[in-house]
Amino acid sequence: MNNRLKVLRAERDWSQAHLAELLGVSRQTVNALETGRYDPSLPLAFKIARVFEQPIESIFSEEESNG
Amino acid sequence: MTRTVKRILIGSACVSVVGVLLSYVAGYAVGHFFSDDPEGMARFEATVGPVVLGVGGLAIMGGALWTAVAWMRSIDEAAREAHKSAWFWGGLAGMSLGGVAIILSLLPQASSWRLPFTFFGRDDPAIHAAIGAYAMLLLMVLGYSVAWVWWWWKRR
Repeated sequence: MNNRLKVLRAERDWSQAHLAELLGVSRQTVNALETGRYDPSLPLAFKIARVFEQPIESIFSEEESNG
Repeated sequence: MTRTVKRILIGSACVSVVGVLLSYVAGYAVGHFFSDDPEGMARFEATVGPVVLGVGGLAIMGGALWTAVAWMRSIDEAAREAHKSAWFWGGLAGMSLGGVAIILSLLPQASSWRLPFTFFGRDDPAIHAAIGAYAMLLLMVLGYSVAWVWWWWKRR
């Protein structure tokens, strides 16, 4: 699963710690999400979409990251 | 570390310290009460001792279980996933290693094997069973620790 978490966070100039606080998770979890090495549960994915005010499909995509 | 996790850790530590202090005071009081009566002390140890230890053991296990449940509920989903994965893979690896010892112990020639050490100065069937349980626990916890570190290392 690929995601745009890092880009969206950078656009808002948020730190990983701040995003973690908004999502109610640890900074390590935000890091694991951003690197695409941990796929969130549906409830967390919905929460991420709410925090960034974007639909889930614009944040997460099925394609594997090439980077 | 979230505030809830900190509260659980501090609460568990406080309860543990109070429990140890109370046990120490109770032991001291019993020793003082029976100081002039060694036979009474022996009777107390033989009858009340196992009950106190059993109840104390149950309380410790109950407390540990409560702490574990509270801990699991307080951490986020990735941390929970790391623990689940670590217990499955690490615990499985530890059990597999311990299983080798169990199979070896079933061999006929194992009946003549003796432990090269004593445990708390004891060398009886109960302590042999305890050593087996400790060894299995140790292997599972070791496996768990390695698997837990590996899970987070892969997702750093």
